[in-house]
Amino acid sequence: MTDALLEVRDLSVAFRTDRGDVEAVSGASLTVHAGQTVAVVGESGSGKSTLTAAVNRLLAPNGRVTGGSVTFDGVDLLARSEKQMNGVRGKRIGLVPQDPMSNLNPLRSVGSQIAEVFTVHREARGREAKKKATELLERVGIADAGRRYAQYPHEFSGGMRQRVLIAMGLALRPQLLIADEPTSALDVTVQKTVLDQLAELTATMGTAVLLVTHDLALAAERADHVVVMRKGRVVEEGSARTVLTSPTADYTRLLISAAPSLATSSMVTPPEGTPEPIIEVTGLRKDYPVRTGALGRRTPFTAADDVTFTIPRGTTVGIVGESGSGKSTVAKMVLKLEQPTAGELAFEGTSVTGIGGKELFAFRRRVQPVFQNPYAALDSRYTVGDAVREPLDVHEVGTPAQRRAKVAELLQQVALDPELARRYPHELSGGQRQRVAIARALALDPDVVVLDEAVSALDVLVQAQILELLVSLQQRLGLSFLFISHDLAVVRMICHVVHVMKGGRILESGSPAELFDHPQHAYTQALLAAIPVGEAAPA
Amino acid sequence: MTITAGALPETGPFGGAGLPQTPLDDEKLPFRVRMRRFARPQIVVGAVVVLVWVGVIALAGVLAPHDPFASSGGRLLPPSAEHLFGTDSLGRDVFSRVLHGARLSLPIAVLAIVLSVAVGSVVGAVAGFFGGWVDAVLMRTADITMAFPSILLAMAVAAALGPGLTNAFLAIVAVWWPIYARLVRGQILSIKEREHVLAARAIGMSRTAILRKHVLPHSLTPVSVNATMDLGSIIILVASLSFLGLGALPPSPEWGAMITDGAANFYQWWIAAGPGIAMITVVLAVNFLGDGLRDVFDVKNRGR
Repeated sequence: MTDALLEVRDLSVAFRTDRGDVEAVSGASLTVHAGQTVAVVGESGSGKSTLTAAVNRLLAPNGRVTGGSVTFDGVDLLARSEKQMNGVRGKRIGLVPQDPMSNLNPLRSVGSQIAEVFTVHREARGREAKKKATELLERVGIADAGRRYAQYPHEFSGGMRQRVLIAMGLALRPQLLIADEPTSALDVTVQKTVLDQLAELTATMGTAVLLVTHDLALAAERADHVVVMRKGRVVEEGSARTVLTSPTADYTRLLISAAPSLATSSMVTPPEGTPEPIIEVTGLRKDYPVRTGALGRRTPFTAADDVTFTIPRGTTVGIVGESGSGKSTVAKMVLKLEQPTAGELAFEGTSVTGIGGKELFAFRRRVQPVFQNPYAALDSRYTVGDAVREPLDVHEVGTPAQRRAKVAELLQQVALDPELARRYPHELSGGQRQRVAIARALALDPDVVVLDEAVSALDVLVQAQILELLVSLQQRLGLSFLFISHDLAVVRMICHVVHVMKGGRILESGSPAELFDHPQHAYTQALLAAIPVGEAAPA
Repeated sequence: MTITAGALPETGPFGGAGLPQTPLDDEKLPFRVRMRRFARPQIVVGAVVVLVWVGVIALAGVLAPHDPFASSGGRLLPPSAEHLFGTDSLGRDVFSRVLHGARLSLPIAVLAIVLSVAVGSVVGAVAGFFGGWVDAVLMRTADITMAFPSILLAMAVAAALGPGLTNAFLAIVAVWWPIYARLVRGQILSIKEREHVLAARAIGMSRTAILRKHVLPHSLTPVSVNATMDLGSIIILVASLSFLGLGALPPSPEWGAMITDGAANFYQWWIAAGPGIAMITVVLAVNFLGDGLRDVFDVKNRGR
């Protein structure tokens, strides 16, 4: 093996906080050889991003390296001055940041931001920088680069913006590229093309890649070498294949078993007989007015169109789709938080399309939501107990003493200590908060729970626990779920029937087995093909 | 259950990696730890000076060496040990008048800001939360009100109701509430899209209850920080109106009115300098306080 390009030895990083120093990385080591792709895998809070931020010395101002060394191409980076680092960043170590939405300057054209990389490092100026930037745009697969050069970030899709960031990261042909969750904000089909592009470019340039991701399968598919981190420590490392097929650390084994994949078996059993539908959706359509043109003329944008499906009592119906597919709009209409433009919504055989007042208030008891973001779904100013009791207060269920008892019962039902009732949401972990949100949704003994990306923001181990909880709640309470997700593997595990949405319409429906093993529609096939399966592509 | 220990702030400039890291400790932050956030030089200095002035307001009668309304020796005497800030054209002790003036200028300014915040918050919250034509009517009213120069409006009020501190106070509230209406409306517009508000709607809570319990409280932090920062401007506005004869009238020791007296006796600089110095210390202190509070509550500045 050749000499290491990047060598991190026993690196420790601490952050200064209100309650003293918190160690984010403790004695982590990793090695990247020239031209190699190394993936750092871990859950949120594992220190994976902090580790890579320390490499090119871009830690947050309250963070500092407390021990260890970072050697890049034979030079100790921790001993460099800030000015010397500026010569390294961008030129020898490129960076592709996570969020394509916030990492481009919205006030400047995309091309000029790439050209800037050349001028800052005095590699090219003026017309030559522009020419090089245009070439780069072409190389990252943006068609009509000459015209696109002058466009602004808002005229680019998320995937194209991420390509622009990749172009910026690779502009000066660095020896190492740090890619921090480069595709986490993108849809799965876009993720695949962007990663393919990245792999192809770095291979031709001979650039080594340090890939940070939470997705073990993706890491195994894209990297030569995988480093698994947990709580600031490296728990396992090895070749991608070895780590995935014969992990030695318990934690890695746990991660692999918890990660849903298309090979994971279903967690639910089909219902007995044919249960009558509890929710019937017929030809549902939602138009939003959008202002276009200089005169602000209102033209409707159709978020959902001709959506028809039923939820049989006691089953889980899944809707999968990428962002903008209209799946959340459907969820809001079923919850009666949005009024459909056209179509019918029936609950237990009775139309509820146009109800209001008392009827709507009664309907609310029967259909409850759980939303995606466990950090935003609970009001930070109320305790867990207040949040769970609120639906009971609003609907004046029982006496105050009975309500308090019910809160304790609900928390136990979602496997939380009733003592947590006195805590505030910020004192809980993401998984605990999502349990509280579920307890709150169950407070009024609803028949239907609409889960809008309810497990998408959770780490894979926590996600597995919440999915188990949902399945057991369904069995015990006979709940019906409408499960909205972008994650086909999760949907496959938990749903009885799945509908695939794109552009506001349902393209294909069926049981998970039918749909995933024999997809009929080209879009479903593309979706399935884009999911990382954890097997390294033949190099 | 995997629980990550400790509170990591944003883990770097990598686009704020993932969801915010939040404290997951078993105990709520102890009071002393939470108070440590406020231990910034700006806040400490500002708070001490403000407290001194609060003391002055409470004890002006005891602290003032002379009667603020009666001559206490010669006219237009320069500063001396007997008369720290000298005496004015009527022989009154400027220092004693400054202390008594604090009782007028400062409470009026605080009351004006409190009332402006109250009116502005209600208007802004209703406009932002209910939207549609309610929003349009309220916010256009705010725009029109803001277009009036405060001095002009105060003159109109004074012309209609006669000059006086109360009327100056009303004029200030009349021009200041739209600032808070706009601020609160902006806050409400973003808060009302949060998932916890959707969840409250989904349990059938009434719109006014949602506004009161789950939306409005979240907009209070930026409002209180802004109110502190605006307090300095209001103190100066009160004095300006009095200076122009639209607020407090002679022989009131209101600071702006005292500066009018100083302007008439231009070469006896101490007459205007006394209330001027007082005003500078107060305004500087509340500005320090406001800036400091903004830094504390701005999450982006955490840990710096």
